[in-house]
Amino acid sequence: MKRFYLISAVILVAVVVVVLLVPGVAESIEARLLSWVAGAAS
Amino acid sequence: MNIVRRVLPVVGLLVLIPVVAIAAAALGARFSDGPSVFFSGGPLVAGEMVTGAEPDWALARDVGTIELQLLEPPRSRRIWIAEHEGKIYVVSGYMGNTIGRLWKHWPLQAERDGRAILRVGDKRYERTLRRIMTGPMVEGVVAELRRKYGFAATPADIAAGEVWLFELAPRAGGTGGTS
Repeated sequence: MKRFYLISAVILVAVVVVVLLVPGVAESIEARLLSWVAGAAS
Repeated sequence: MNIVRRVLPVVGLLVLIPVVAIAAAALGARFSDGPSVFFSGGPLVAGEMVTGAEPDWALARDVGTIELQLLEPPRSRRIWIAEHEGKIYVVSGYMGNTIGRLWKHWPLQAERDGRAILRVGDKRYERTLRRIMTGPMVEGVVAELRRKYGFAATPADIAAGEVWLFELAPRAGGTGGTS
């Protein structure tokens, strides 16, 4: 179980790094979020 | 029971990944020059700072949204703009209920310190936000908001504090706030 939490923490840190540093990822997340909000509002 | 104990952390991780990704995207936007479409941004840096005579704000009639940054805190957001009789106004709805106030912080921050920077296209303007609740201009501003955006607020909503209306007045002396 300890190993699972360690892997989870690494995955979550990797997600943050990728979103902050890889160009286009944040924009892609925002676009998905916008389409989801627009879909929910209509 | 054992399988639940094994599956639950995995489900939690799968839920946490998009939550963390969205939080990271929002955090990253805070350090960018201006807001994105969804997240608020950092200080408005790029663009010529226009000083001197008041511009012809008729240009705002055909602008969908503008970027507005408060000096304190130095965060920016996209916002509707209305022009009426040579003056410009911004508006915030949902201010009459707790959820709206939890969601929208900038109107309360602007009431405390109205100093702001406005960016329209590639030009920046120093302004002071002055809250307006009543007055002869309210009807005209509401009509312009209705024409541009289909915004259904009434002067009564503004007087009651359901909708907060601010004039983006020229900066005078550097301090602002309520009028």
